[in-house]
Amino acid sequence: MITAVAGCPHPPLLLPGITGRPVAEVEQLRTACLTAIGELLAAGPSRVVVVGGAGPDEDEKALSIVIGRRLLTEAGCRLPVEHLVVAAQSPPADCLEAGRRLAAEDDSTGLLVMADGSACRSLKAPGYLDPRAAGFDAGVQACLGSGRLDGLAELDPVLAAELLVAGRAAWQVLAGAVATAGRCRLHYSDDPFGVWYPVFSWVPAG
Amino acid sequence: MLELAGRRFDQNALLIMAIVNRTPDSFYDRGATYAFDKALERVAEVVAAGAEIVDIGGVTAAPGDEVDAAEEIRRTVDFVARVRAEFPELIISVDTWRHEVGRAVCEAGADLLNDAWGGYDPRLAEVAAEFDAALVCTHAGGVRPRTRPHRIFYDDVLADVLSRTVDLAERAVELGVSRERVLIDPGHDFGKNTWHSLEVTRRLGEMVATGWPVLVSLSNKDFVGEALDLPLEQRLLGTLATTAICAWQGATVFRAHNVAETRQVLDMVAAIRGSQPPRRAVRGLA
Repeated sequence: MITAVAGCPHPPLLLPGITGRPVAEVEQLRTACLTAIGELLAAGPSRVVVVGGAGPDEDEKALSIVIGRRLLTEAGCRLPVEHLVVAAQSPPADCLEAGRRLAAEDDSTGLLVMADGSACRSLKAPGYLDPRAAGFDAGVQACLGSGRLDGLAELDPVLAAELLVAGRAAWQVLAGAVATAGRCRLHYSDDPFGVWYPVFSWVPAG
Repeated sequence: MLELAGRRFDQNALLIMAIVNRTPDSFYDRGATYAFDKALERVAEVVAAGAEIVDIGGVTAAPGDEVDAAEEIRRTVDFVARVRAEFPELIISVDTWRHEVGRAVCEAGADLLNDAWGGYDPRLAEVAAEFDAALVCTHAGGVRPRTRPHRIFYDDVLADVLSRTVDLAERAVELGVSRERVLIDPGHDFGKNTWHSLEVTRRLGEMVATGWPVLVSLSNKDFVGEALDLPLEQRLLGTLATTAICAWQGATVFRAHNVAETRQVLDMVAAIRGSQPPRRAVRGLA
């Protein structure tokens, strides 16, 4: 049973000390992440599962999981924390199925979904400017805004890979886990370094 | 460990001692800050640019018009008192070899006596001890103050530097100067030709290895000019390169005219060394 969801990006920038001195844009993002996680914890789950994409040979040391756990610690989370690593290239059907299985478990679960949008949003972006990036990210944002997270099931894995989207697989686990409508709050949506960072929290309707 | 004006600095510290001349004839600024108000403006500027220490001097190092102790005191003491009042946190050094001047400026609030002429007046260290001041023990090759090096040779210049500066430092401690308040300075160009100053720079790590904090005074000096065959106004890059080399080898205090540029070089060295994080590292991490 999914009690609440929080979504955060997982740039290395969120690792402690990695920016040298604190960088204002990064600290603003971190604050938004901690707000979203605070709402997740306030919903009263009995455990938190961090969902994140990983490379071919990665496990719980994947950046998504490491940063998710780190943010939970910074947010003062005292609950048991588990993780679900999903291969970044997993087909949508596999991701959806993993999400459905997770939701079927008895525990009252808070999902922390670690996912970034396209890294091709500007000339200075890590993947340079791809004119399709804005549209792809807008589609994700529309799903979040509607509260219908199952809409994320439709994301195109090929296009997502071409746009260096690091969150497609994790979002589709989320789509499988949450089939019902809910209320979504977007705490942050910006691309200060050319990568789209959405931060949100979600609770079921009613 | 170094202690100046009650502040403690570890071996990774990189401090700037900004030169403030109350002289009409110093080689670099040529009297620009001889006037009291101009010198005070200079102090405000160097503090804003990142200097932790000011080194106030009333007598140019080069030979020239006689400046007796009374005149040197006239140029420095009231000024030290004013800087003390206006910049309570600033570490105030005075560049003098005379104990009479040392006493007067310590009474006015100086924290550090920069004895650039190598202990020529042995009573200066006694004054440092009496006032709990810090002391720079410099190698000048045994020459008289305000003389130019003339046909000076060493079997091993660095051996001479080490033995004289460490002896001066130990003597200062015996006289009662706190061990944490003594620095040693190889005295670039003092009693040295360009070959000597370059060798001292190349082997500065041997001075650092003594454990005494090392001060270097490199700024726009003739060894930089001769190394590059450049006139005074074109020595900044050579000075900064030398600054980086000395910082990398472990020097702690850098006596400088060009404070903002020196601060940038020292911050870069600290970042490379890993003793200070980058100010803003985001590239490749988004």
